[in-house]
Amino acid sequence: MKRSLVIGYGNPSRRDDGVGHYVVERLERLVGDKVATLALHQLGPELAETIKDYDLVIFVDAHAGEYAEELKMAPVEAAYRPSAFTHFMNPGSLLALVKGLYREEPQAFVVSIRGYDFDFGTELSEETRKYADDAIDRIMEMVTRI
Amino acid sequence: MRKITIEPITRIEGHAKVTIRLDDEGKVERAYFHVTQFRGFEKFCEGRMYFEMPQITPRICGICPVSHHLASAKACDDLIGADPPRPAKLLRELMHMGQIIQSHSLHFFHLASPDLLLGMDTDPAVRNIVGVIQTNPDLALKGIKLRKYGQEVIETLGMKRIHPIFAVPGGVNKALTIEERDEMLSQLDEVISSVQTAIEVAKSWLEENKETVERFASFPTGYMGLVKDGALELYDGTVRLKGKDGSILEEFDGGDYLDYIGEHVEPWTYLKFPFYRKLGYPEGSYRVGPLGRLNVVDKISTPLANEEFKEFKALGDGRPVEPSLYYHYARLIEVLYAAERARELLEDPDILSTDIRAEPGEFKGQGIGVLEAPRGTLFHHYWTDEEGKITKVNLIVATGNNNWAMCKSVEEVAKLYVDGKKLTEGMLNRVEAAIRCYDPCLSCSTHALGQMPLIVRLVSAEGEVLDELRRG
Repeated sequence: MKRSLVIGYGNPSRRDDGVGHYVVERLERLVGDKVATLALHQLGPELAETIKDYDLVIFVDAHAGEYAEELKMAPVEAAYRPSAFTHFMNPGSLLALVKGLYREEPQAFVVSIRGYDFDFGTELSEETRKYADDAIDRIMEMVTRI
Repeated sequence: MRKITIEPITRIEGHAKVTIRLDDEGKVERAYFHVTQFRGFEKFCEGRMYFEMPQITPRICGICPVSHHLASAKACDDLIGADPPRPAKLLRELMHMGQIIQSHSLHFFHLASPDLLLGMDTDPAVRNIVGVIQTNPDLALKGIKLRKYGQEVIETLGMKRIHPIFAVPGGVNKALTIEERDEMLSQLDEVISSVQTAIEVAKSWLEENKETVERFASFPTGYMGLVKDGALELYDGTVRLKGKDGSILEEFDGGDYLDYIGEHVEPWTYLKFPFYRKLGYPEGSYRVGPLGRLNVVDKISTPLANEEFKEFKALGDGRPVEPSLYYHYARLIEVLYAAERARELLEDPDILSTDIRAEPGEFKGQGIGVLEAPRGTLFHHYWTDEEGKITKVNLIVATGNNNWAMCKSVEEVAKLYVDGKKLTEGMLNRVEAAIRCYDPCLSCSTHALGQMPLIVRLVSAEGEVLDELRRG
């Protein structure tokens, strides 16, 4: 049976930056252990060892307007991009580590949700919450289809 | 006068800008290391209850949250007069060793090794962890497993690998089971073997490039770190300050830090400059973290790490080891110590005890917690009202202690390698490599906002922007 992993990452104490955590926590309540989930502050290279065992990996985070879409969903290719901010290791770079170390290439998508408020706090803004709820519906469709 | 700016530093945490000021002949006159992100965390904590702080403060950082978690708990212990039982202290220290292993391993394998193993003049498209995987996959795999081990120690104790829920005022909230203890112990032989492999790789490179290493960001400073009976101590000890000549200037309880440590402010950066009060600023500047710590201590209490320490010490020939690139060697020695110390802790019968929390004693209204984070000495100081609501917070983060030294390192390297008339990726990367020695953590609090474009500015002496480049 094919296995799916949803990774939500960001800082849950910086309001909309924690939208990945919100999505993962809602998913856990909806699907239980049918889908594996991780809620992290950021992606790290050690995740390569975890990811290699999955067929589908979905990365969920916040963006601050660098995409035109409020809710961006796109496939991710394994491609290491030297990042100016290392702890912001992006999904493509992580997949490149998986491929280089373990010769595995899981199917992968990024779900990036527009954030509006990055101040200190734990609540999402109303707009981000709305897009996060849309994202959850679409992630559920993806993991059901695999 | 022309100014070349390199921004941001690649492969370090957070954001930073480097400005190199040239004179009219294209020679480096001065260099600045800027921190451009406003933190605001201390203000944010005001009004919270003290017992929330061990959960709030880890969110300062995604790489070293455990350091803040434990320093905060220690500050709360002090505040409420609760001395944790010995088993709780052992468990906290065990989590701390996991933190040291994962953080130091991440830095060496992911951040430093591409420069050391692939060469600073190698194409940036290759000079990264994927390039290391291609040339030495076994080493890369060892690095990932080391980080994973450290993360799993943290997760086993704190239920989460990031922002753990574990240390509380007066102790910890979870005992260790026999199964968990045995699982951690079972992996330590491999952990120690992997670290020793990495140490040999680092030593070989440092030896082969000794001439470069000796003049790269090498300058005298003071040094600071915790000690216990003169030995390296990362969780709970007294603060020792040494001077440029290696003599002991002070040894004091961390609770008295304000009597010894001042903070200087410059208008061009948000990061303050801690200094030793009796010598003033900048003469009283000092280095912390692995190089700082190994220059401060007399010995390491675990056998394998102590043998490496003796070799490290010999590099200084009776004086402190000054060249910044030896931070990488010192960092790996500390991973070895942390692994050996983890074994000692796990083999101590008290590590399985359920006596893990003390009752409050006398409420003092303020509390101070000090420990050695991976990057250096970390101070958490809280003031509260009579109900325990936070009224003021002072944090001296590890990286802040190294602020002056990082600026100095950039300047020294820039003078050697940056020629205003000719720019190469390798030259600029050497300036960044000087900063990377310190493994600085510059507030990686926000994921989304951190993805800012790179801006390089060329500014005249009069402040006019002559050119601007953007990337990302």
